[in-house]
Amino acid sequence: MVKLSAQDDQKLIQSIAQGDQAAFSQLIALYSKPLFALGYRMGYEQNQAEDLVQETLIKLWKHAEKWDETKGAAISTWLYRVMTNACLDDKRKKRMLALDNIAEPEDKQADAIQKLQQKELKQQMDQLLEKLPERQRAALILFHYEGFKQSEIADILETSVKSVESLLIRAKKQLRAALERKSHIL
Amino acid sequence: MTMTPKQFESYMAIYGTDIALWPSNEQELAKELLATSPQLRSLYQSQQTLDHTLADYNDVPPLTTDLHDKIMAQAVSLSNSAQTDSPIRHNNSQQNKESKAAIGKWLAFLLPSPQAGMIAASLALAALLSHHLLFSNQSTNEDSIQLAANNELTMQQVIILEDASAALEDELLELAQMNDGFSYDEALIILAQNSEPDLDILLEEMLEDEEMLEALENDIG
Repeated sequence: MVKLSAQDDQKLIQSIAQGDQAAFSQLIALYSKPLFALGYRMGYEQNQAEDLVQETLIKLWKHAEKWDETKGAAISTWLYRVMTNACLDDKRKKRMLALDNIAEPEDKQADAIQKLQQKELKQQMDQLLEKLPERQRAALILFHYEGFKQSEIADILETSVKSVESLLIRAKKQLRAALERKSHIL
Repeated sequence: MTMTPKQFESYMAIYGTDIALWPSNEQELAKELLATSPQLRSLYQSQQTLDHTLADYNDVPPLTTDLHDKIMAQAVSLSNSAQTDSPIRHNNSQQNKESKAAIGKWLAFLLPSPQAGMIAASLALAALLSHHLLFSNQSTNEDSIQLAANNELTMQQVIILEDASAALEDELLELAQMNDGFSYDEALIILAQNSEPDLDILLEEMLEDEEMLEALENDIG
């Protein structure tokens, strides 16, 4: 997770609001990768996740002048919120994805067994995560991979800390049960 | 003080399986409970397996190299198109800007604080206005004439309201997206869901408010 100080946040957004392209370029460099990771882990293919990143960052470019500093929101929170909403909205509209089609990164050095294990693990996790309700999945990804605190996730998902805890508890319980079922079958 | 298995499970889900990362006053209780419950130990082990599996599931591919450039290109193109609109478009956008300035009074009334409920109501009002006024850049259509006739308005006043309503709608949608994190679609849903007949009263009041219409005319010049 990228997090600037409140002061840097403010400076950056003010520059962007004035149309400073260098500042916007800096913002893209800072946030495109973590936002992409969020989209990818939410089950999008590479090009779709990148489109969502572009859409999210362009929204900030278009609306930067209306940034309300008095609300005290961090840029990261806002960007993750918009990105998460974009994912949740899209998933509500259509059932996503052929995760199987995601290309594995080329690694000619890795031996065949390790590659196979990695592929199996990825497929297994893709299948498990795919079965989670979207908000549980989003909370889990933000917590586990992006390193957000529960209070920050609550801001992003626009809910209470208690609800975030509940989402995490249910997500992990469901994943644990699914993993156990799999190991019984195998 | 004791800890129940359910509490243990919750802490495990929230803080992970490394008990040293749990709240300090819960750590000893958790260790005691874990030592005395074989069932909980089994649960704990399966959670550890899950945590390791989640940690290993980390293979996000690199971004395509041109994403940064694509985003910058779109941003630059947006900036350029805002500056080099065609004369007709420019006039409209200029008109919109002026309308936006003029409707600052409405916004100040409608949005004393950017709370979702108020924004929703304001969006609804904007939707209602748009619906009634059937905004169009060519504002001398039948609906506009009808609206003018029904409300004893001059065409100039109708045009001002049309512009203002479109600008207001844009403004409110942007505000909803920016400050309250609504997606564009969500904001539109709120618009649609809140276009209730009781807002007709508000519209009527606005249309009857001669002072406001005059102020709008003056602001727009």
